[in-house]
Amino acid sequence: MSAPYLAISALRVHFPGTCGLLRAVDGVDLSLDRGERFGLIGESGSGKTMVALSLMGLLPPSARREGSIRLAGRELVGLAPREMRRLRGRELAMIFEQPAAYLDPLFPIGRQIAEAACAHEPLPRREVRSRVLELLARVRMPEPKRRTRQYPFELSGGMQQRAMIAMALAGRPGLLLADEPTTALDPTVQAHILSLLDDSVREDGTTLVCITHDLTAVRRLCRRVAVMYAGQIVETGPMHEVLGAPRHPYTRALCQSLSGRRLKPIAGNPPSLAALPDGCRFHPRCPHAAARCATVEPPLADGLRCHFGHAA
Amino acid sequence: MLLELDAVSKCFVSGFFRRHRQPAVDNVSLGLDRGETLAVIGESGSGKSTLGRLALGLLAPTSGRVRFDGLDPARPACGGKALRRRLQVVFQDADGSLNPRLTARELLLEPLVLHGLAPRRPEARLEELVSLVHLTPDVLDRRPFELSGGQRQRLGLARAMSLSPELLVADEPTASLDPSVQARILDILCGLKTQSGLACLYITHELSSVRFVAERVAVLFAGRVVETGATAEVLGAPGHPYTRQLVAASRGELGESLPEAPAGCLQPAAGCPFAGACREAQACCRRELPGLWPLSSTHSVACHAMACN
Repeated sequence: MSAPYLAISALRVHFPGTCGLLRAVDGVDLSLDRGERFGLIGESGSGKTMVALSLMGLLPPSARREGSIRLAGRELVGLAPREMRRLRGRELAMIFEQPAAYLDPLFPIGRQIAEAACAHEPLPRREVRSRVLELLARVRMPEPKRRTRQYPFELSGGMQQRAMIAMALAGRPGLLLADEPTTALDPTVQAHILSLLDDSVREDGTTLVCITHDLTAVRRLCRRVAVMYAGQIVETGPMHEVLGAPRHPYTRALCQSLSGRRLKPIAGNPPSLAALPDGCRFHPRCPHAAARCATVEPPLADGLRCHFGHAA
Repeated sequence: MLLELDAVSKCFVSGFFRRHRQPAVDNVSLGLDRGETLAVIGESGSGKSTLGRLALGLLAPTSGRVRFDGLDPARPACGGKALRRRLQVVFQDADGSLNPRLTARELLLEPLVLHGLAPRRPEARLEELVSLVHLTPDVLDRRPFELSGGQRQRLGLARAMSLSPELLVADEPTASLDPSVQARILDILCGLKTQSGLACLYITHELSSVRFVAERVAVLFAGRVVETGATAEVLGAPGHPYTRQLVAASRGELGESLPEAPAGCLQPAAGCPFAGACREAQACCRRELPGLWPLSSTHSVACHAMACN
């Protein structure tokens, strides 16, 4: 059996803070094959974006990263910043939640996409132009020629997101990280962006990691999912099993909170990452919690981190 | 009727010689009773936030009439500050609407002080307010950046509710929040409605939340109401092609040929504003503007195809 394309093991991201150590990511293991589409689900603050940023090597300077991330056989933890920069864009790329915040407001988008396209392989000027137009056509940007001269503020949110995806695809990356790609968009635009991501990933055989709290997006894009809570994976498996018949009480609550006849918010608040509860991290909010849950931390076994996985 | 909008239009004028005219809301008539919730749904650019601002009196309509309990909220002569207290709003981004330099305690006291309603010992009132939105009193000493997005949004809601308003305009109160936090905020909103008989104009682009909070729905496209009616009827059996498209998109059922709907920028000289993106468009759709056509006593649609059948 060949080694997986992406293997994350025992990844920890900690922030030393004034009120103690913030454990944003606390022991995450993942392995993905080439061309796989993976969904990472969780509430804000569950550490899913930190997983993506540690893959990209873009964590804030105060963060401490431990563990191992192997991408195509190469260890990324401890890689020199120069080496990492060479990989970014070509081997792995990321799409962010708010395209407006990541596009430079002072340059037309054509120039920004050209910059991304030339970052790793210098192209003659004429080819750059045709490459930019080709990328814009791929992300189905209406009137690509006119758009290259427009500034980000002249584009709608959906078009900004398309420009962002074009930039991410410019270096033909093997791994694409999409962090809440559709959260800030209208429902019909969301549908367009999802189908666009779906097609681009299929055409190039790109491995996709979709990080989101939008279960509709995950259902549409991903084959396998992992659910994160307070820095840990609490449930993982094929998408249809995890979202169709969730076993972990947290996943179940998440799936039910906005479906069915009545609103079912999850009681309580997510724990503070500086003062995580003993035992199972979900036990203070769990309807099935028993005495054991408050003292013994359940291991991730058979894709589930719960003492009562089979009974509940 | 607590709130009445009668053929309200708002056109933004800009540019050299004020030549550029952008109609944002076009001939909209809506009514809202006490204790009732009306959801206004549509994409960005469809004019739903402008409609909310017109209802609040933050904008004056270009034509038509807005009446809140018989008074015009856009004219300070009609009640002024006393009227403001009865009309409150929760904005989409709690970040932008909460002063970052004030603590939650000061933020909650501010509206009470401005309206001369602050009790001499406000602590009990503040604790009551935070518990109303299921927060704990320890948030009172924190500033907005020390709170999570959901907590900030709940603080905004508590601020609006502190003046016991009669009408709450909730402008995308749960956009870009987690589903569990969304459910929490909507649950609180529903609770407030039944407890205090609050009327609510719920502006959103997320259909999944609408059926939990609203009795009635109005669908906005390019500034016009294209469909209105009881929530179950509109979302269960949508009549307008645009509503059908929205409902399908919210269920994750996506037709590959789904037309991109450029609301706002697409403004034909005449005819139905949706005609350019509609698969069922006929010749009459490009000629004539469809009026609202009743499908039942509580459900009407502005579509030629519906009127013909």
